[in-house]
Amino acid sequence: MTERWRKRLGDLDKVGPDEQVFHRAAAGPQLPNESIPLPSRGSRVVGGVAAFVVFALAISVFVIPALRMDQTAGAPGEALLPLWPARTLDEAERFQQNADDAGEWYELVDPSRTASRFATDVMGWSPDRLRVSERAGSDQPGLATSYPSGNATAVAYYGVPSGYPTGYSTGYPSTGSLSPFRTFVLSPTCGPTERCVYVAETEVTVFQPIREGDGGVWMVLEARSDGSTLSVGEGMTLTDGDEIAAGFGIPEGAHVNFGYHVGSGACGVTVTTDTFRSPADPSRFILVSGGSGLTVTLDDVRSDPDCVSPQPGYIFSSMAYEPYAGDVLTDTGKGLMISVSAVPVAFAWDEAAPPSNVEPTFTSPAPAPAAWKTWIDTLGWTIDVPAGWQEAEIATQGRVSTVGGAFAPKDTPIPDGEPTAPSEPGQIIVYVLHREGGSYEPPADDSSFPLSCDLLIQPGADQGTVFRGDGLPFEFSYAVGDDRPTAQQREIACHMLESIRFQPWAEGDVRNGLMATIPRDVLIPKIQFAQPTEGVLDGTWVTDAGLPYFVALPIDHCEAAGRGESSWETDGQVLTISCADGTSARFARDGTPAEGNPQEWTDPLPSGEAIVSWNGWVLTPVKG
Amino acid sequence: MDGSHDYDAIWRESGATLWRAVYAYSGGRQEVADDSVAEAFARAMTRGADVRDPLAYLFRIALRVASAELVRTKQETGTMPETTALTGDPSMNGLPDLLRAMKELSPAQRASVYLHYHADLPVRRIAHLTGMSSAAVKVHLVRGRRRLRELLGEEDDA
Repeated sequence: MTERWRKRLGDLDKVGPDEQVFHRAAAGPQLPNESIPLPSRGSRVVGGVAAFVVFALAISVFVIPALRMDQTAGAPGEALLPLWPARTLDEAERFQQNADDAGEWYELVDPSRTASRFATDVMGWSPDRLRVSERAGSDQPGLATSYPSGNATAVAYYGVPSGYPTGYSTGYPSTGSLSPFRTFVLSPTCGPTERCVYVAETEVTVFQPIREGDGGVWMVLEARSDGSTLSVGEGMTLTDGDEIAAGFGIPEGAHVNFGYHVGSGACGVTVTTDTFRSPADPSRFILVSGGSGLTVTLDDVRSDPDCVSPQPGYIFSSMAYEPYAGDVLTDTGKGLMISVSAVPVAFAWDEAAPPSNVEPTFTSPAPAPAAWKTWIDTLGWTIDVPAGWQEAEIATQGRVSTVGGAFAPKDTPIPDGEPTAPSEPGQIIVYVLHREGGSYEPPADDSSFPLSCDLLIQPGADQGTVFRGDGLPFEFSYAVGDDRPTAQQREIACHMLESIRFQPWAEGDVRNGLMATIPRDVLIPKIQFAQPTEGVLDGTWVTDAGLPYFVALPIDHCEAAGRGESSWETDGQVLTISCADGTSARFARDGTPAEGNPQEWTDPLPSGEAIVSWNGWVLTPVKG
Repeated sequence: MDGSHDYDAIWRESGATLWRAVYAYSGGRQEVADDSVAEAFARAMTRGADVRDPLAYLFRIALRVASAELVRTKQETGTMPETTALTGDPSMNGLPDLLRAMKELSPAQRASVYLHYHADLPVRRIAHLTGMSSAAVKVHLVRGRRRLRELLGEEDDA
């Protein structure tokens, strides 16, 4: 007996291809190569795609030299320049005046409105698809920058949360007044039954450039989107020949844009890369890792009489589903942006310019990494590794087996087997490992990424932390040959830890004995099921008060018993399986069979808690 | 023999199934199915013996072209375009209703449902042809089947 819906599929036989479709093929491909990726051998396209340049993320050290003023000011203690909506203090003054007069920009006196306007005006997000939330602790005053006199440098940290390792705060005390910095998270919203395009969660840091306190307009200082990293820290000074880079997690079909803008006011030069389109597999949602690089060239700026060194500017990157290459902060009509990242920097040229990449204030045995590469582990996670380092795959067998990677400078031998401290002072080895076969670890949700350097707690001879990804536990550790790691070694380890990423889960993905069944936020607060699928997931799960839970059903439970097709329902506490022949069986949430069940269903069903993947999918165990 | 594949034979044997799978995938857009299948064959023929599994290659390329077109069209118009008009043609009786129901499924669900429940391809074969995992195909089948039941009915017409 064939169900109606299945018979109706036969209606598709009423249409079919014309012979001309095949004959057209003789004319050859009509679409450009980059729009049609070739089928990959594996099920993932990860990093280093041939159609895109491999990445080398040039990362600055944490020490940030002072941001130079624009040409209208030069004395120490002057305020920072905003990125948006104003670029100079004069422009900011006009916005402030407009707000004071209760004009159209009055809303900027509310920092959350500034953040919100950034999402709508710069990123093209719809206001009814936008959630703005303030990052906890961001309303605490941070250190203000101050401007150097002579060769002194200052360090700026924005919204430094309490508990941040003070060992990283190298620099001079602020000589300027405290300026509050607040950070807001811009998140897209998507209803549980909607199918929405992916856009990246974005953080914007805002501050009051003209007047602090009530009535002072807030402006964006910096923006950073998920999956989009810039190699340059805020406030760095760049000059000719400096290499800058951006790294991306690129969704299917997205176009990448990266560049820099020099100047403000009458002086303004923008340089961008050509737009690049992701070759990601469009049949599944995959973020392709890639990056772009530029060499700072200031010839056009130098020849512009309106541009006098030094000049403020910014580095920016963006992604969009349509081709776009331009200054993402000022261009209008760009359409929907998947991500926007921008940081303020300074550009300098001529003999009076300060050196770029100011020397670190701490001593280190080796120069800071100027470029990074990506290690892709067999378990699918990736990590940034300094470009000049070696990588070693770790795989040990025994009662406890260990898999993962070890990373160290080329002059540091990496011993086989378990993590070992280097033998020589100044050396460092970083380990990321997964172990199996040791003491039982109950299932737990994945960690949130990026991991925080706060996990590497107090400085010591050996540093480490644990995290979870793709349902598995991992250890991150680094060992040094000295008694204590240097600040640079800590920074390298910190960067590597923060760079760890796992591949996104999508519906139906199976990894490590787990299957992604339903998004976690669809789950709550409703009671949901995932219907069993033959042979792979023989599980149905029930939620109660937000706790993902699974109860594993026998494969084709009714069909296998010759009772026809299966269906099931639950009230959250009792699971009822009904067969086409009219029989039924009931089970409690913990898998306990009810009395009176047919004979084949008198054994308890496996059950337990499901876990949640790092990107919000409920993962339930699968067979085989 | 230079190792090239007989694409004439592949077209005769599997062209209609491929085309209808893309047609279903695109929610009933004939022009998308035509363009995608033509492009897939064109690329396969260009690559000659480099293609090891021509049918899988054809399916994957065709579905990717179709997917790109669906995304592009949706971005331009903000909505999925209407199904190629079939109403008014008595020979198409029932097909518009089917396509309207199919549009409630995701593209991957549509293709999986068609290939498994009508073209009678096993799950593993569908996974191989489309580049999805078997598990993903199974989930698409379950959800697609459930939705079509709701929309088109479960009872046997007979």
